Amino acid sequence: MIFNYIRSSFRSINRNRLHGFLNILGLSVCMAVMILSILYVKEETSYDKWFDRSEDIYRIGQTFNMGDKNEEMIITSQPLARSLMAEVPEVEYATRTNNLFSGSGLVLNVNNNKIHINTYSVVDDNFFNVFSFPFKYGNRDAALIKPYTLVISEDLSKRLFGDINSAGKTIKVNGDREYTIDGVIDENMKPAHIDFEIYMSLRSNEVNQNYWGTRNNYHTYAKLKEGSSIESFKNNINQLQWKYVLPVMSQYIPNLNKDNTKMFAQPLNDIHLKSKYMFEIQTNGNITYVYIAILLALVIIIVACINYMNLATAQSSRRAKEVGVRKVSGSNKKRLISQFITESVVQSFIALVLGFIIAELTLPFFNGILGKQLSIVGNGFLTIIAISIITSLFIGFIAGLVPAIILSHFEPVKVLKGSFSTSKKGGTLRKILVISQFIVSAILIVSVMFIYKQIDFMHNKDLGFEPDQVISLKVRDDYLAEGKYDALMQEMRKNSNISGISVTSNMPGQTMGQNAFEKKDGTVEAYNFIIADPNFAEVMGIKYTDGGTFRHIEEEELNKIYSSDENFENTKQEIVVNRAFVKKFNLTEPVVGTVMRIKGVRNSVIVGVVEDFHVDNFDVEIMPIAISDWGGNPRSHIVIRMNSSDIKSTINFIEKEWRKAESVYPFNYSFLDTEFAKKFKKQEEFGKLFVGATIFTIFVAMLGLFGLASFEAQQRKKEIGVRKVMGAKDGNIIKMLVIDFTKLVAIASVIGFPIAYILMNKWLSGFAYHTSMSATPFILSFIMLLTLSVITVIWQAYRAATAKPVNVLKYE
Amino acid sequence: MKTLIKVENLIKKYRTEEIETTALNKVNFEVQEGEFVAIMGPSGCGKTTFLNVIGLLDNMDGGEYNINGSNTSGLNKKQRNELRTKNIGFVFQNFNLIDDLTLFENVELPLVYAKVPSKERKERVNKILERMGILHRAKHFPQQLSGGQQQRVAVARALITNPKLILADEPTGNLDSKSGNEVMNLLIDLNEQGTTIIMVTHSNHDASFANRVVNLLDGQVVNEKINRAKYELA
Repeated sequence: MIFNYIRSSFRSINRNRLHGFLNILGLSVCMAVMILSILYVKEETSYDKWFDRSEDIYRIGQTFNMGDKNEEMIITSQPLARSLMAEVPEVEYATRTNNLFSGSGLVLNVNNNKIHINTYSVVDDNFFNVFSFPFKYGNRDAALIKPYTLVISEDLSKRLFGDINSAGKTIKVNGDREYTIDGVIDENMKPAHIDFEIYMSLRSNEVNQNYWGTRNNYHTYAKLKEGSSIESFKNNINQLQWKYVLPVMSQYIPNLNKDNTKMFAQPLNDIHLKSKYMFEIQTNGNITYVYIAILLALVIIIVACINYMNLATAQSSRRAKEVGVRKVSGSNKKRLISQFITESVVQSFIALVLGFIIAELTLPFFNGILGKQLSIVGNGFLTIIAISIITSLFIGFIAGLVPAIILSHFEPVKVLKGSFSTSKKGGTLRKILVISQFIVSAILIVSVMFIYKQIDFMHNKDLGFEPDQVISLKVRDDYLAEGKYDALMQEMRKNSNISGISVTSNMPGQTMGQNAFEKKDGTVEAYNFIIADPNFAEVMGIKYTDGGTFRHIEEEELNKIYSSDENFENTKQEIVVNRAFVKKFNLTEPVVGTVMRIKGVRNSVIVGVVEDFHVDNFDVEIMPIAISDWGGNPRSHIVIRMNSSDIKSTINFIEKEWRKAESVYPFNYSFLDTEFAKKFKKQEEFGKLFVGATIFTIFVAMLGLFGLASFEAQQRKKEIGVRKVMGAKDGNIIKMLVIDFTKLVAIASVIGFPIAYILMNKWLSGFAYHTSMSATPFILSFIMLLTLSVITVIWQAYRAATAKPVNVLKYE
Repeated sequence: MKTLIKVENLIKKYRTEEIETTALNKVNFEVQEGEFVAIMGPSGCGKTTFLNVIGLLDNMDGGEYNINGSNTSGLNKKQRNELRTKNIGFVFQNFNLIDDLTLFENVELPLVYAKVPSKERKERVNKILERMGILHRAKHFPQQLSGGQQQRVAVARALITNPKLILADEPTGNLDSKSGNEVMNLLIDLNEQGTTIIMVTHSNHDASFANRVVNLLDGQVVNEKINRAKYELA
C-alpha cells in the first residue's frame, strides 16, 4: 500500500509541477536554514564541554568596588594559582595562562621555513592536567614540565614540518632560542574558548611571580576534586582575596574592604556563551544568538508547514474530484489521509535532500560571516542527519495533516457534481497566516535598513583622528626599547613622502591598559592609557584643545608646577588627556597644570588636552584616556603618516628599510582606516545575517502569498466570471484582486512597523553614538513589500481576470 | 418589427489536443424585438454554446452575427464587452449572485462597471428592487434568501441596465414549481413590457410561455414552432 501511496505522490507532484516545485522549493530552503541553525547551535553549545570533568573546572575572577560602579575582572594575580593549590582543599589543580601581551607575536624557524604567529599562550606545566586537549603526538602528562618546551597545533606542525610526527623536534623561536616540541594537539579537537597554535611553558622565563593585586596578567583556572563543595570553594577563594589582594589594593583604592572586593568562580562551561569581560581570551559567543538561532529554526519549521498547508489546500478544489472518485471507489477517510500525508512526507524528504545541498553550498558564505568552520560532514554528521530526518518527517506529517483532513472530508456527491466550495474560515486562517509572515518580513526589512543606516553612520562619523594615509607597523617591543629600530626611523624621517612618525603601545581599536587616579573627593576612577612618544597625537591627527604634548614644557616651568604641590613625589610624569578624562575627573580650568595622583604611587601632571577620539566600538562611550611616555605596556607599533599620493612606492621604501633593520620579523603593516573599519565587523556581520534572514523570510512570505493568490483566484473564479458578465473589464478585476492582496501587506505593516520601531530603537540605544530613528526606512520598506507582493500576485490576478467567464459559469 | 438578433451560418468548434468537435454547425436564427423565444433540445445539443455566442461571451468560428444592427465579427474584446453590457442582461440557472455582496450591491454591480454616478445607481437599484418586491431585503446576503427570491434578484440585476435582450439559462431549473412559476410570470411581464427574451429550457411547461420554440439537435436547428396558445396556460 505504502508504495502505492509513494508512486501516486510522485505522479501528483508531476501533474501539478508548478505547485510541486513551489512546495518543494519553499520546504528545501526552510530545511537548509534549519540545517544551518542546527550546525550553529550544536557548535556553539559544545564549547569546552568535552574536556574531562569540565563541570569541575572554574575560571577565577575578582571584583572591586571602584567609585559608584563594580569592576569585574577575569584576570588575576600571579601567585593565585599557587595559593589555590596550597591553601584551598577543594582544588585538585590550579593553572594559569598568559596571553594578554603576546605583543608582536613569534617568529618560528624550522630549517629556514619561517612562520610568524600573532597569538600564543604561555601556560603552567599542569595546564594539560586541567584541559584534556587530545594529543596527536607526544605525551600529554609529561608536556611543558621542562623550560623551553612547547605544545603546538596539528595545523602548525604540518606547516612547519609537513605531515610527520613532530614531537621531540625543535623550533627556533624569534631568531635565537631553541624550543622542544612536547606534543601536537589533534586538529579534530572540538571547540574550546582557549585555542592557540602554541602553548609555551611558563617555566621558560620564570621572573618574580609574587605580585598580588597589581600585574593582573593571568587567567587562572581551578579544577576541583570530584564531589567537592562549590560553596566551600567559593568561600575559600574569597579568603584568598582578603588575605592577599585586599591589603595591597586598599593602598590604591580608598575604603576597599571585605564587603566590596571578592573573588568569583565562573564555570568553564559558561565561558563561551555567557562571559563578556574585558580581557577575554577570544571573542566569545553570545547565548542570545543561540536562542535566536533556535527560535529561527522553530519559526522556519512552522512557516514551512504553514506554506505547505497554504499551497496544498489552495489546490484542494483541483483535487476534490480525485477524492470523490477515490471515495466512491471504496477508499475510506483513513486511507485518504494516509495518502495525502505520504505525499507531503515524500515532498518533505525531497526537500530535505535539496536542503542539504543548499546548506552545503551556502555554508562557506555562512562560515565567512560567522568566522567559523562549520561543516555538515564531520563531527556529529549522524546526529545532524538524524535530527533532520526526524524533523522532516514531522514537517511532512504536520504539513500534510491539515490538507489531508480537509480533502478527505469532501463529500463525493457534492464534489462530483462540481458544486464544491471550501469553507470561508479556511480562507480567513490562510490570510492570517500570510499576514503573520508579512509582519515578520516588515520587521526584518525595517531592521535591515536601520542596521545599515547605523553602519553607514559609523563609517562616516568623525573619529576624532584622521586615519587616512596612516599605516601602522607591528614591531618587536624589545627591539624598539633597545633602540634597534632607530636607524629605520631616521631613514623614514628623511623621506619627504612621510610627514610624521610615532611609536605607541596601542592603535585605536586595540584593548588598552587600565589604571586609576583619585578624584578630588577622594574616590578612585579608572582610566585607559596609551604609551606613546610625544608625536603620537600629531601623527594620528588628534587635535589639541589646550596645552601641548609632553616634554614641551620648559624644565623650569615644570618644576614650578611640581613644587607648588606639596605632596608631589618628584617623578615628573607628564600626561596628555582627552576631553572624556577631563569630564570624568571633574577637572576645572585651567586643566593644563592639574596634578593627578594615586595614593602612594605616582603623580602625573596634565600638559595637554586633546579632543575625544574613538578607539573603540561605537557601542561604548569614549573612555577617559591618558597618553604618556612612561612605563606600562610595551610599545609595539610604529605609526607612519604619509603625505604622498604615491602610497605604494612609499610603502616599498619602508619595507626596504625594514629589511635592513629586521632579519627575523616579517614586514607587517596595516592601514589605520581599514583596521579601524574592522571594528564595525560585528555590526556588518549582524547586518549580513539579517539580510540573509530577510531575503529568506520575504521569499517564504511571497511563496505564501502566491499560494494564497492562486487559492483565491481558484476560489473566486465564479465571482470573477459573474463580474465580467456584468461588465467588469480585465483591468477592474486585476485591480480588485491586487488591492485585496496589498491590503494584507498594509495590515502587516501597520502591525509590524511599531514592533520594528521598538526593536530598532532598543538596538540603537545600545550604541553610545548612533543614527536617528527616521521615517525613511519605514516608507522604503512599505514600498518594497508592496512592490514585491504586487509582482507576486499580478500573474495570478491577470490569469484570473482574462479567463473566459463561460468556462466557469455553467449553463447546464 | 425590427430584427434584434440575426445569425447566419454560425459555426462553433471546440478543439482539444486530439479531437475537434463541432458544437454549432451552420445555425441560422433570427429574433425580432419583443419576442420571447425558447430554445430546447437534449443535453449536449449545443444550447449553452449557442447562448454563449449570442451573449458575446464566446467567439464563433464562422458565420455572421448581428445584434441590434451591429455586426459582431471583427469586433475586439473591448468592443464586444461594450456591446454586451449595453444590450444584454443574463439570468442563470444557479443565479450566480456574489455571496459576499448584499442584494443591493449585487444588483448595483453592472451600474458600477458602467460608471453610473452613485446617486443615480441608488435610485435605479431601489426602484427595480421595489418592482421585484424585495426592496425590504436589500441589505441581506444571497444565502439568506430562498431560491425564488435569489432568482428575482438575478432578474433585477439583468434588468438594471435596461437591456434590449435578456438571455435566461434554465431560469427555473433550480427552483420548486411555485417559485418557478413566479419567475416565469416575471419574465412574461417583462416581455409584455417590451423586453426581448431568449430562454434555454428543458421544461415544456416553461417553453409554452414563449412565442416561439426552437429545437436544437447536434448543433443544428431541427425545427421551429410558433406557439399560438401562448398565454392560455398561464
